[in-house]
Amino acid sequence: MNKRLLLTLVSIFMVSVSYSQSIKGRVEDEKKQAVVGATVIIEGTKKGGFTDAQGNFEIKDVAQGKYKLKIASLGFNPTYKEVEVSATGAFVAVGLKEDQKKLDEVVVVGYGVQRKREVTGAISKISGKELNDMPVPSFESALQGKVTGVNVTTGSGLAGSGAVIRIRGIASVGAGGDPLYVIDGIPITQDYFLNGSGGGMNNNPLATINPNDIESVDVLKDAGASAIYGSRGANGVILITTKRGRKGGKKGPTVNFSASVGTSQPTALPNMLNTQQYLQLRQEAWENDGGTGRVWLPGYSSAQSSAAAREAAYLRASQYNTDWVKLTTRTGFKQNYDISLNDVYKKMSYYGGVSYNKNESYLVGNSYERISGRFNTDFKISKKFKFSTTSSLSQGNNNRVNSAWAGGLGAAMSEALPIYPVKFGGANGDSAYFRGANNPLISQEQKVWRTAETRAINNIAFDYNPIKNLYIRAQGSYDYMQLLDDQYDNPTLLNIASSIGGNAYREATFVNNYNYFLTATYNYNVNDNNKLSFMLGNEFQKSSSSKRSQSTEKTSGPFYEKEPDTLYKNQVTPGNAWSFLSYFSRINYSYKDKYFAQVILRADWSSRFGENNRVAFMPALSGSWVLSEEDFLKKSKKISFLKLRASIGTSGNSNINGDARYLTYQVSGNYNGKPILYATKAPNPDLKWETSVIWDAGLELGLFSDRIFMGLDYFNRTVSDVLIEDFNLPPSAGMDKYAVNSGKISNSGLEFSLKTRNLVGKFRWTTDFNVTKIWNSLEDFGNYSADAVEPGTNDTRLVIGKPIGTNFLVRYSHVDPATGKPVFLDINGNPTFDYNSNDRVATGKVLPDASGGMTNTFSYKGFDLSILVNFVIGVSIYENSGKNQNGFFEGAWNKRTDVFDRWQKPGDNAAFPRLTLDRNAYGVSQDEYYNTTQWLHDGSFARLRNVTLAYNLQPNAIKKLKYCRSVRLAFIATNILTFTSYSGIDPEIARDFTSNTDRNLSPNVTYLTPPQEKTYSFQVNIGF
Amino acid sequence: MKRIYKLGIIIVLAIFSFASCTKWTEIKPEGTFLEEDAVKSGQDVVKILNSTYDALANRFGGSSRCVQVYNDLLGDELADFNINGSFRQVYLRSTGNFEKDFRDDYQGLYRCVYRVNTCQEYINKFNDLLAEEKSTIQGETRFIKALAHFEIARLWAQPYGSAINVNASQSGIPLRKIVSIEPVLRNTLLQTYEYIANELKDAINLLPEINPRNTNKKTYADKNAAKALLAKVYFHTNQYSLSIPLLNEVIAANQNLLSDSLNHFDNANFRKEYLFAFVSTGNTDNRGQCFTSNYRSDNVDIARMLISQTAYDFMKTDTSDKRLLLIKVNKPGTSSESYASKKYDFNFLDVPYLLLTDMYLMRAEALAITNQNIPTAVADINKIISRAYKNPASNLLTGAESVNTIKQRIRDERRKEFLLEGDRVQTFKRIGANGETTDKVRNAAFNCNGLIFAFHVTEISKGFLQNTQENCN
Repeated sequence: MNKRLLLTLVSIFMVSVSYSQSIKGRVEDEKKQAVVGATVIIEGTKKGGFTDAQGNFEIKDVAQGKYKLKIASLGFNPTYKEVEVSATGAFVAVGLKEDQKKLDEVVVVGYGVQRKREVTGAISKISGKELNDMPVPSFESALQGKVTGVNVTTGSGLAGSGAVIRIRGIASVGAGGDPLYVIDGIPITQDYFLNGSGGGMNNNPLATINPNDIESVDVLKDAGASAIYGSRGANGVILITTKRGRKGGKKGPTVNFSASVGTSQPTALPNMLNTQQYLQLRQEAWENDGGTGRVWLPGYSSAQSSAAAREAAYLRASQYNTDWVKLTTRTGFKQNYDISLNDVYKKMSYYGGVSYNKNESYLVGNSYERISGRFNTDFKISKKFKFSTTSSLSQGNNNRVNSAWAGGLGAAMSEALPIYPVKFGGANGDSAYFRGANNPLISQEQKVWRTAETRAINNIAFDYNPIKNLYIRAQGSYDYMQLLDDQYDNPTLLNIASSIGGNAYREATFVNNYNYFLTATYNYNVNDNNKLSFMLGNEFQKSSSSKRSQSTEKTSGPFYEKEPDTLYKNQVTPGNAWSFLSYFSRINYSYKDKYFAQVILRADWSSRFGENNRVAFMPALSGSWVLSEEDFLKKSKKISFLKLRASIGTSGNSNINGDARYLTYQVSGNYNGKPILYATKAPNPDLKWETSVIWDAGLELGLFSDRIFMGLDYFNRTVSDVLIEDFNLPPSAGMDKYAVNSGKISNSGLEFSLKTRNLVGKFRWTTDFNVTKIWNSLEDFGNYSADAVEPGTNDTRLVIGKPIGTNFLVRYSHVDPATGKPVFLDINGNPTFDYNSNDRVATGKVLPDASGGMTNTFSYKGFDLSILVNFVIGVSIYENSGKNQNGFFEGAWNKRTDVFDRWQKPGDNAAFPRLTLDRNAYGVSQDEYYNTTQWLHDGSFARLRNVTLAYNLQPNAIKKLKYCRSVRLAFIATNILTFTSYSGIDPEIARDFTSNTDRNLSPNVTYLTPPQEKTYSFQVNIGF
Repeated sequence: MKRIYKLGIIIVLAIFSFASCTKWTEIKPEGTFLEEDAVKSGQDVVKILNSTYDALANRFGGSSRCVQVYNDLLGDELADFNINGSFRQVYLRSTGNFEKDFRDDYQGLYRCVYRVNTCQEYINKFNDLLAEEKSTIQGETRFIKALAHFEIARLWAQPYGSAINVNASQSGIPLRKIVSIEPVLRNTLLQTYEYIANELKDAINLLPEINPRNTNKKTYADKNAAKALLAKVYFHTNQYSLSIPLLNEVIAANQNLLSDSLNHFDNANFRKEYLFAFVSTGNTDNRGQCFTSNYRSDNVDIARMLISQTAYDFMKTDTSDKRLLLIKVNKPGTSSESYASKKYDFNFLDVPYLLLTDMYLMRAEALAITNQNIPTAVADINKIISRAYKNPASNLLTGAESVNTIKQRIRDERRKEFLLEGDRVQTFKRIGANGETTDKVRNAAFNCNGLIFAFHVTEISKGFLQNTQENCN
């Protein structure tokens, strides 16, 4: 008995001794820098751990003996290391090699993820870090120049303004041409017209999204990738994945803090005339027209004024020389603070963060302020059951000012003449605003305008793994947007006594957008070589928006200062409501991990169409072949990777107003005191899906151990039954516009990307280059004329055989040296002095031939330097305000100094005709718009978009900072230099739009559009 | 494996039975009023009819532009002063085919046609209206459809008359007989005016003598208004013998209603003459805005638009004519003397469209042209002269004058009566189309292409004949 007891005690002791050792070690990369968060697992066991901030790990309670460790970390090739544990334990140093091919990088593909190796479609990925490297009005602008096939035109210098993004060109007219944005599985509300275009700006539905919350952005470009989104994937899909809890390599949560401060200035300013120049040139115009004495001056005198009155007005005007551009612009101050923490526990992980951003633009009074919070959690209930939550809440306050056509800097470039004072007269000498003409400072100083957006995007997801290889996921999401547009005109603005009070106006928009999806995925490995994956899913989405407005007079402030109980209870204006129901399936097959095939089947029902046309089927087939895995290439020293891809499929677009197919009525007003009822829109019960057939062929090639890596894709998209929402009915129909399917568009192109690791080692130099060339053409448009669709007043049209958004203008030839009159070309190309709109022809195009970017990154020890140049080639800019800024002196517009080069006497060869106050002198009697190619310019440019110089504190220095894991300091400059022949302010233009048609057809049309901003920032990132 | 199959079946069933394809995707737009909710009774049809009157009133005075001012701009009664924007294009007789204002005004008239066409589609679907009420509504829709087409034809097509009867096949306007959004080509002039006349004949049959909805104003069409309009259509298409019987009936039904006032827009005193008018209810509902904003002279230093020297010289040929009192002379005797109308010096106005004075003038001229019942023609014109001169003994016609003298006097009186009311250029065109020799109006012949509007480019479909654009200044 005692012997047995003794044996038992000895055994217990031995066991405790044999399991008291630990394996310690350090994991480094090729630069000998610590790899943080790497997993280290003893093969064949469940024992393991993570590396901490210094790259160290420890696996405790390991018995003596030989083991094989597997060390893995995202972005590195997994490494195995044998280790022998003695009585004192073991220490092992591990060096990880960067995964050059990144074949196992996980790519988000819609309703799931795939290894990059398996992907058969065209997908580009960009990390959240890259988005945060530069301060931009909204995160999507940071994609510019970095993603092949994605053309980004940043809105303007206005705070919070959105970008126009086109993936592989444009092939829609009335339906939205923007890609579908999906954040963590929910197609978010992305209506740019919720707030109209008041003040010269569209609402940007992406502005409240905090870029610091973004883990990665995946761009789905071809049918093989985007068809899983079926009817909504035709314009490409941008999948945004937000951050979740990740093991930080140390006990307790990982904390990240970043802060940045910076300045905003315009890239360039307009060159307007000063008083002396303005008076001189206007006088010249007057005398050219036969006038005698002083010229009449807008705001001071009229053409009917007597000579004495004109003389007096001239003298008064000469006293002032106001620089309105200077008064409406400034150096804006930017600041951003972001703190986040995340951690992983045995049963749960989380990511939480709060952010504050205040972004002042260079326009006086204009700023965008965002406060946002996010909390994402993942719970592991059991081995088979997990659930996760994703929550974000943002508040974006846009302090608005008028811009472009609405005033502010736009007025400084147009009707605010230098001869006007800001203030004059009054009891105190200069206390009263000058109101004789356009004075933008009255509104700038006396109008309160705030657009406040409250946005909550939330979802909850359940993952169930009932049996091996079967994964079921159910997710429900809710995206809520509340937009409150408040304006308050105070008594001074209204020019009434302050005791009376001012006028307050509010327009409120509420958008409720929810969806669910349910997917089941089964992975079936037939054998080691043949693998199948089946996914089946169902999704439903419903979105509804409603609008309310309220106004009151004689009040002391805007509604947000004192919201009355009655707010929102009246004045309902039409909202927008729609729903989607979808069934989809994706089948993937792989053979020997080098041949891949994918079939996608999807059926969508859309509420936007009548019962007969409601459903659309969108199949797609794609495949890829990793040639470099074949024996004949496996041993190649030159070719390290080669993959061929091809896909074909259909996709659709139904992004039009939810009521487009209905006959709608309105009860409004009365006649003779009796109520009236009238139809507002003609119905089209036969409206149907716009359908795209998309095919793509591409290759990915890595040379010399991927020191050179390139991608080449050809894509082709043919769109039929083009949706046209703003179709002009014959006016004799008695109705305005309606929605119709008409026409066919062809859009094809080439994408090329190249990444070269020019220098490796201590001093590293990497170059990323991408370029996309687009061919776009309207193939058919029925029997309709070019004027059947008008995108606002931008004079772009649909012309068969020409690209979408063709400038349709009268051709301007030259200034007649004998008379100084402008010479136009008639429809047959013959010179004429008469301007006639019937002589308009297709002359330019707003879509670029090619666009792209090049990033050079240099790093040495802790320093890194990144330089991004983006470029646009072969695009026209139509300067719609040019006719007033450089044309005749009719009206009250200031001119640009370009007009100095005008005709003055017979024989002059000048850029601009003889000055006149009468448009009839230019032969412009028929049409008041005077839209000619004189205002059409080559808009090609290359821009030094971003320079980032950063320093990362080295491990030795980090160690001295007790609580820090990493420190990065960066100096960032954007839009520093622009190379262009364009004579206007800024060649990167996306003005405010009035509709989807306008947005599709009229980018690169400017009308007093503010320039982009130039910024300088300093950024600190600290990890704890 | 059985478990997998079972699970598979359950999943497939779950996924495919979860949602209803039809119900979940049948969504009514929010905040909009769909047809099925908007038009549910005969009373709703009446509301649509009201909206038609509303839209019509806006085209004849309720907005800053109107048919009458367009006609004035084409003629010679306005001075070339402060005529800007699209008004200038009309004044220069070069409307072009791109101007949005003209598209809106053209469409505005057709919008009335669209609305009455929808009324005609709906009216028999509901049983909450009496047969007489339905008949009246049917009559009103025909009246409005005829009126809108008539005014479009007068501005967008050449005049119709005996002198160019051989050209009755020349282009009229698109006729919108039913609700349709499809492009429609132009009908011939003959088809256009036949259609208008037939609609009005139907209206006469359908409308009651007294429209029960009219109280103290002639706001809604009645039988008498339909007859008056048909008479006017015949008169302006040079079908005088067809217009005379109708004019006889209208005048007989409105005996002793001629006003003593000289101003057709002096609503309080002239209203009894109105056979059909567009009505205002107050300062914020001014259906005479087109006149008060463009012609009004009492609340500004100088009216926005002024009477031409030609028109003023014609008016002052006889200084004893009291209608001269309706003209304000600015800075008299100076080099910058100018003239404005005082007819529209009110805050808000009812705008007469058919009035008894016009009936008398039409009958007098029709009788003179056809040389029948000259005494009635003389009696008719003398009523107008008596009112204009107050002390008319020396001005009245005796009946002994030649028919041509009588006809010319009638025309002169018409010109004076309707100064700046949009009549002058249409009268000029009518006379020209009747084959009578006319002087030019501001250098334009009666059938110059510049005197009609070009169709907007969005109206032009395959085979649609555009008006030739021609300046005639």
